[in-house]
Amino acid sequence: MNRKHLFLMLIPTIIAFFVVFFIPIGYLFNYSFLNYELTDPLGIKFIGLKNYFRIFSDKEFWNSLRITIIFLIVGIGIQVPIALLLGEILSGPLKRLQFLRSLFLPPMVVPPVVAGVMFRIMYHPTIGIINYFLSFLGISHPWLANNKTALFSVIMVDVWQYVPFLLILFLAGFSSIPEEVYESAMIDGANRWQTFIKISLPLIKGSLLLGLLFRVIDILKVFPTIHIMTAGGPGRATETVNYYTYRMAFSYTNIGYASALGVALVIITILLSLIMLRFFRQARVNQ
Amino acid sequence: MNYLKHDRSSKSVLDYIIAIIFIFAALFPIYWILTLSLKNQIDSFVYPPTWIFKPIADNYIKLFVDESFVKYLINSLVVSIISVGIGLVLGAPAAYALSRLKIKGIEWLLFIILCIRMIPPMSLAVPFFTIFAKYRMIDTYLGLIIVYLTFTLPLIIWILKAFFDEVPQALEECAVLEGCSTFQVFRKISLPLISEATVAAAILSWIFSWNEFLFAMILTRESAKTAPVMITSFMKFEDLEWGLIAAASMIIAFPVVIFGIFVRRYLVSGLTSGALKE
Repeated sequence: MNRKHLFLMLIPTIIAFFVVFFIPIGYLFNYSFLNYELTDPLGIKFIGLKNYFRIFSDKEFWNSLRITIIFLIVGIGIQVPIALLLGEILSGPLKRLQFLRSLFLPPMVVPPVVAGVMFRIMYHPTIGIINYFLSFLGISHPWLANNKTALFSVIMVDVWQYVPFLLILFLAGFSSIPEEVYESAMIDGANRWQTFIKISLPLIKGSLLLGLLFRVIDILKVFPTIHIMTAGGPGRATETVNYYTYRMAFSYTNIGYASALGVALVIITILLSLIMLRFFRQARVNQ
Repeated sequence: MNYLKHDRSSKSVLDYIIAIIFIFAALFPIYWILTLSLKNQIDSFVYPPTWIFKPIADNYIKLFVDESFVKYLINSLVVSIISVGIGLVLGAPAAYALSRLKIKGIEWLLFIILCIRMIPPMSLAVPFFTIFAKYRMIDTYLGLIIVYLTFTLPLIIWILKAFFDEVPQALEECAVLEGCSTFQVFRKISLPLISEATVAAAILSWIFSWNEFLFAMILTRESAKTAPVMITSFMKFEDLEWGLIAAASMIIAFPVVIFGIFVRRYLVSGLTSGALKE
């Protein structure tokens, strides 16, 4: 292979990455040190770390961080067990019914905007189908309008969209376990629960951690569903760091402070990813 | 066939019940919005909801006739297809080079491409907005196409690189001995060998572009507005326009679901591409 030619094939892409990634990220960092409001183009000036100091004393930021952490913990806490349960069933007892796997697929590719619209209609407090089903249990509730349930309601849409993703990922993990492993477990008299905890779970640790890594990254980005279903409300009940950054930039047009928040978002993402990757490496070493 | 009696393989009613409940949960919302899109105004607001009704196409017709929905669909199509096209033209040779070049910096380059996948789009949307405002690129196809390269290009590169890694080197060496240049080996030997993966990568990155909302909402106004952004303009009349919203949702989601099933095998590798490598 001619090395020079290979480099030539790479150069257009490197230039493209400068345009679509390095330049905007450079601007983001630059703005984060400025007093920059869209409504006041003449007032742009360097203010050092002031925007960053403001983050630390900003109650709305800490609220949005708290909402984000709840979203991460509750969302992942619901979808991972469901996906594991379904993965166990579809790779074990219902293994031969391959077509079932495709039936779980649509939610994962439905555009997030459409998912938001669909659930906003279904959550409608008086004539929504969800309250209709729940009325048989004597429940009627304004899911999105109540600040105690709004976040949970939005999280459930994330669960609906991403259980299929985790399921397919876990199924790939399950299918790589040789059948003999289960046969010898059976000879040893292990029941289904023991087999799952002692054999399946440790052997799909790789898929599990990969799923967690991507769910963390993607939940930090959640935007369309929140924007369409609650716009961060009621009050600030569903305002994640991502959504707060949006509001600061495009409702309050404070580009300087929004950029500092954007940098914070990048740092949070990188920190959480590094923690996850460390677990990931450890798991691989131990295997 | 002793192992069939094993706990893990033996079917129980409970397994079926759990699977059916979750399939229902996965599919019911889509079914419900589909029926809403086929109901008339009165039927969609009846409470308790009607399960049996006469389906009508009025919402779909109104969407195309009155609401200039076609314009936004075309915007979506143009932007998503061109950004995937550019992604392929730039990404396929780059993926090949990344697979074949054995030098130190390559690992770093791959790592940076992975980082682009992780960065929250919001952090890019803020600077893109001001840059585009300055260069009058707000509400243009070009602006949106450039921005969409932030995810189409890394996705295509990571998927294709993984497949180029699998192409046997001996084959390429033969071609070189026959007098093929590096470009010719890429174009005539290696790329055709992974054509199926290339199509899958193209479809996957098309799905991402088609579904994209944040950039499209912030960086377009009217002339380059995409279909997903258009849906939000119905939301103001939420209580009146359920049928229209439902119909628009169905039209936007339909091709994605079809293509999604088509590339099912590649979906997860697309969503997680690169992360497994170190």
